[in-house]
Amino acid sequence: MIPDVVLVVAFGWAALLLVAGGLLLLRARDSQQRLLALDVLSTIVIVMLATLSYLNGVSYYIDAGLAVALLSFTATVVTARYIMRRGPDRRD
Amino acid sequence: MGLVGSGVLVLGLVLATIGLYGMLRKPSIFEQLHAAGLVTGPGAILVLLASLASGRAEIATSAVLVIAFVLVTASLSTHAIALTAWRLRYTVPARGRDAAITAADGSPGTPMRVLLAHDGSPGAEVATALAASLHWPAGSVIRVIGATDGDVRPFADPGTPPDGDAEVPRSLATTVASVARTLERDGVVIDSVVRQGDPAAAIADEARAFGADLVVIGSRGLGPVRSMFAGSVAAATIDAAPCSVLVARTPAVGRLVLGADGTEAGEAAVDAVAQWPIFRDVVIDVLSVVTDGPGLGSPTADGGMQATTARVRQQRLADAVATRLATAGRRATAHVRDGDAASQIVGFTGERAADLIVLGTRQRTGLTRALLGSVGRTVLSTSGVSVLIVKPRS
Repeated sequence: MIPDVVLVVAFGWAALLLVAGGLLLLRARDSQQRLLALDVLSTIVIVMLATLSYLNGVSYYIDAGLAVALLSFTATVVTARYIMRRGPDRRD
Repeated sequence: MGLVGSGVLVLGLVLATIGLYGMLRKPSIFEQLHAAGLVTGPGAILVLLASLASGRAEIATSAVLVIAFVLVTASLSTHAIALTAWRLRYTVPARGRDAAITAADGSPGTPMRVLLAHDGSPGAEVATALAASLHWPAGSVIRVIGATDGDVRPFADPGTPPDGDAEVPRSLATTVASVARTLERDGVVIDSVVRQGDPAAAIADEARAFGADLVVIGSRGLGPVRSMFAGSVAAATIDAAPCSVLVARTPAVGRLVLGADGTEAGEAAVDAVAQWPIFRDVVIDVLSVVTDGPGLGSPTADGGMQATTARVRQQRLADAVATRLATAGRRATAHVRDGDAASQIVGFTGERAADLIVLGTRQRTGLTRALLGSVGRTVLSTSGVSVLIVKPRS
């Protein structure tokens, strides 16, 4: 068993990473960077859900994480293809 | 068990933190992708592995399932984003864009989208000088593309000083950036991009993506024999590019020879000279060549009669083109010569001391071009002056 104090700290840490990911999203200069930031954000959400699952001793948070992973993967691939087809961001 | 689990969990979070820090530090999407791999790969997997220490079978089972899923999807997502970024390339943002929008003292006329190819060679410097000497209409966009099949170091430090007197080969990215700076002026937007691969194909792809009206490219000037063996990037670009191509061999244009042949492509060349503001102050000689090839007059007609008819027709053609150019405000005179089109055009250009030849291209491909040859290609390899090959808008 992982001590609760470690899990709580880990959860807070993951929340801070989520803030950093949000900063990344705001600083992105084009669609590709925004897409990458969203992909990373969803991974951090999965990490948070896993930590929550260990903390409460229940598995359904991790199942939600699986759903998030599935959705984020589909969304990333589809959006990447869309951006490629649409062409680069208009600069003027 | 708890200690190991805690260690793995914390290690995963440390890796994710390092990855995010890298993403925030690095400006380029490709470097960010590298850093993101640390978050979506090892970072997430280590946190999920800590589930084995949670003491609950259902949590561990679900977590292992997520790990298997992440192992597959993380690399696929990264690949999808990297491929998109690579296809669209990473371009350096235009400098002084806001100033360009409000600037009013550029030349009048329809804005043009120009792609200036640069490979770091002396020929490319001539092309840059020519591009800098022309009056681009206000609102024009010039993109400098560094294209080479050699080694590209896109992230080289631009501040590296030369080592002693020896000329240190600067990275192409640095060269392209400094070229873009020399072209900066009011009313024109400049940006730059570096691409690796077959130069002609890279330039043609970029011209298509950029929606270029004109590609400006330098020439090594190898001549007909050597270019046959060494290959000419300029000639390959003319074949591959979707738009008109200006092969620069002179740093400025004061006088141009326009080849008029009455075809659709020839008319496109006339339109370009009449409409593009860069030819506003250039003296124009319209040349129409009477060739003895097939397609002129009837084969049953009397030979002398046929030649006279052909000559009258070409004279009318040249006069009509000169009149059109004069209407558009250009200084143009009409001329007719007899003989082989390419050698007459090159000879006439020498006579008039012109520094640019403008021709339309019929876009012959494959076998037809191999058999009939192309006037444009012959002129390009035998003439010493700049050549503009105009392609009709498709």
